[in-house]
Amino acid sequence: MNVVKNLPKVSKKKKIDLKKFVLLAKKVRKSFEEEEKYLEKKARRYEDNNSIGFLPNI
Amino acid sequence: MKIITPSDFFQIFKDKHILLDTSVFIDSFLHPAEFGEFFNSLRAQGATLVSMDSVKIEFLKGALNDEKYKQKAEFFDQIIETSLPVINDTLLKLYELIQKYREEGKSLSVTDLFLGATLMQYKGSLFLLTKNTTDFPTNIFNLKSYINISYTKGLHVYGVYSIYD
Repeated sequence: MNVVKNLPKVSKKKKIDLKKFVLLAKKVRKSFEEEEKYLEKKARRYEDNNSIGFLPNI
Repeated sequence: MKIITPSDFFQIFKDKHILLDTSVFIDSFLHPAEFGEFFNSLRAQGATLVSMDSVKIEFLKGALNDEKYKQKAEFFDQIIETSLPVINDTLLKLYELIQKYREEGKSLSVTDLFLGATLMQYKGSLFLLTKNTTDFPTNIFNLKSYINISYTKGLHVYGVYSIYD
């Protein structure tokens, strides 16, 4: 059986470059907001389908 | 927004491995300056930030295009120093954990089970940082410490868990 008893060691500790990290985070945040909008749109579409008794768009 | 830690927090996790849940990555892009500094403080104490593929999958899924997918992956990889693999022993621990949870396990996500199983696999040397405090009950998991996230209005809490010996 393949069993790893020890956790991997990271010898070289690197600090996060905060400036780059904040810039990238802004892009990621925008992506998540767009994904949320997509989900809301999808939920509304299915809600509408149910309310008027249509079959869902599968 | 401010991250408030107990006075002994960084001492407790000196040279330890900390497993990060999806909630950590989400709060990190919402408050990158504060979380970035928090991660750097942990690393400065010799702590190793780790995660696993099921968490990364939760974080990446839904990306609208290749570029956005790459940005999410890069962000995730900037935070963690290594990813813990799922091996046969992880799965054995996962089935053991399902039995421990009993009916409480019904509403758990598979990712939560993988995180719990990984804590079991590395008992004593791995700690889980999660905002999802309801799914890691203290009859199974040991609450070692916590962090408070203070907002202009309201306070959120993260737990840091290990598994009982």
